[in-house]
Amino acid sequence: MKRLSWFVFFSIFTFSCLDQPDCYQLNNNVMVIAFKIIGGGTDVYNLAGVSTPGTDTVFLAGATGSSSVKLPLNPYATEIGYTFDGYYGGINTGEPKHLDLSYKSLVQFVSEDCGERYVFSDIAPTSTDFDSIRILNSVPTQPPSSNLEIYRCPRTNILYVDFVADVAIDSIKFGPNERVPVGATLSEIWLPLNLLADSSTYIFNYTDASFPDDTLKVTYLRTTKTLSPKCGVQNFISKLRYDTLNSSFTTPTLKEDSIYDLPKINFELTR
Amino acid sequence: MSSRANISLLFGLVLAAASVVQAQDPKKTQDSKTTPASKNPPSTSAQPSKNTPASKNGKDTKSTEPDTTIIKPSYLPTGVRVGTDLISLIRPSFDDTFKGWEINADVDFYRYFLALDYGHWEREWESEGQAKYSNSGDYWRVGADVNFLKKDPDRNMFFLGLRYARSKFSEQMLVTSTDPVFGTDSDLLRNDNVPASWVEVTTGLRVKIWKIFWLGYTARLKFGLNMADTPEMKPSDVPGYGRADKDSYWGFNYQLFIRIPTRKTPPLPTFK
Repeated sequence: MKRLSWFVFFSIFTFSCLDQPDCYQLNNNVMVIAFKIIGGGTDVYNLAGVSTPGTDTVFLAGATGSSSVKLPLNPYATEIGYTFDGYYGGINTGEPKHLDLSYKSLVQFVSEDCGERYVFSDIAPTSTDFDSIRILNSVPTQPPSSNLEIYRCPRTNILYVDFVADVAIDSIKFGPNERVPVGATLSEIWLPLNLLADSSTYIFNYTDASFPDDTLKVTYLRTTKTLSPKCGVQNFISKLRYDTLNSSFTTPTLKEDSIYDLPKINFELTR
Repeated sequence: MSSRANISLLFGLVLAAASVVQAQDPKKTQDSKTTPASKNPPSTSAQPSKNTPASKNGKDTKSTEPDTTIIKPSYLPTGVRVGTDLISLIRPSFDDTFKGWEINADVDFYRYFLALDYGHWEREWESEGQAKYSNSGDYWRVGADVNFLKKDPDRNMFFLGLRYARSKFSEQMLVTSTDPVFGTDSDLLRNDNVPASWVEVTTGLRVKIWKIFWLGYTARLKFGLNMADTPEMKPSDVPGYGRADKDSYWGFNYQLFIRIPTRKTPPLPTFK
């Protein structure tokens, strides 16, 4: 027993000296931003890239279908601005979005083997043109987990049409005078609904001039709702119907009778 | 090491110390019956001293009711024990990153001890030319120990205790760091007079070696580190505590003491 006691004593004494830190993953300089839709779920961002002053590096260039991004913080500064170039929710507005953040960055000596590390904390947004931002965790973690959620107001006017067979469309006319050139063969298309009326009509002009134009008229019920003061009063669409009398597509199939963001297929059409 | 591992180690250390004491105690008790010191009436409960109520009343020590004699514990201090941490003194000879010293003192109140420590340490580290760090500071601890060896005639100790500790230190770092995205940056950073506090659970032994000389060890589980905000850099090493990024930390002292008696040690108390 006595011998065992001394063994335990010296084992503990030796073990207490083993206080050298692990040099792996010392810095917590990666911040995670998740994209969300107000009142909805996860948003999807297709990025041409994210840039920030102080470096020529373009982060996440060409990242598609991202619901979250990991971005580095500058260890030598206490604020950073990101410019998000790309489009989100499937719509390319052509306008980059900005996010400016402030944070604390303190250097700490770790050990002779590991050197120093930078400890980041107190992340807070200072300005942005995104619709809304929520801080989940102001301290970046290791491994990285969500720090910020970027929200956008839901789009309530996207009608999702799926063509059973691909169609070559020259242009689409909707509204009294609005004609949008397409000039492509499509298997699906997103169409804007008229939120000021209870129906929308689209006239498809095909590339092959031998095909007559087809008309799609849909009717729906509009309900107003305020999800967030940031978004204001919005019209939400339900009870979507295919107007048989005023449409010319054959065998239309209603898949979803409400409008979703991200869009879900509302109609399957056969030319 | 995690807090749970630290607590397990502390528990293991307590067990080890207790078993050492247990292993030594029977022999000590046996020896005390034969050594002259143990024949001295004040050190045995079975034979009350002349200061005991029984002897003051002129009763013979061979009283017909020796077992019923009750000696109450005296809470008046019998001495001051002053010592130093030998590890802090020896360590600089084999660890050139450390300089320091520590003075320890305690005063007895029967089996309870008021403990005071004061120390100083300096650190100097360099990481392959990238960062050069140094700190310097003083610290003190105050707390109490409870001796669990109630019947040891020499008043040897196996104790558990608590400490409240404070430190004030300054540190500086010359750093050149390279970030793969944001490039290279050099800076000289300083934190001056940073206050810190923490709590310790202690355990250990104190053993009388010869006359007024005592040896002992103290194992410390330090936790609850609290520091003031430091705008320049994040503290790396807190004198008296250790690495500042640890939620809990181990400490170990191997101590040499001198005990200065202030009055004659009363006999060990007895109980019904």
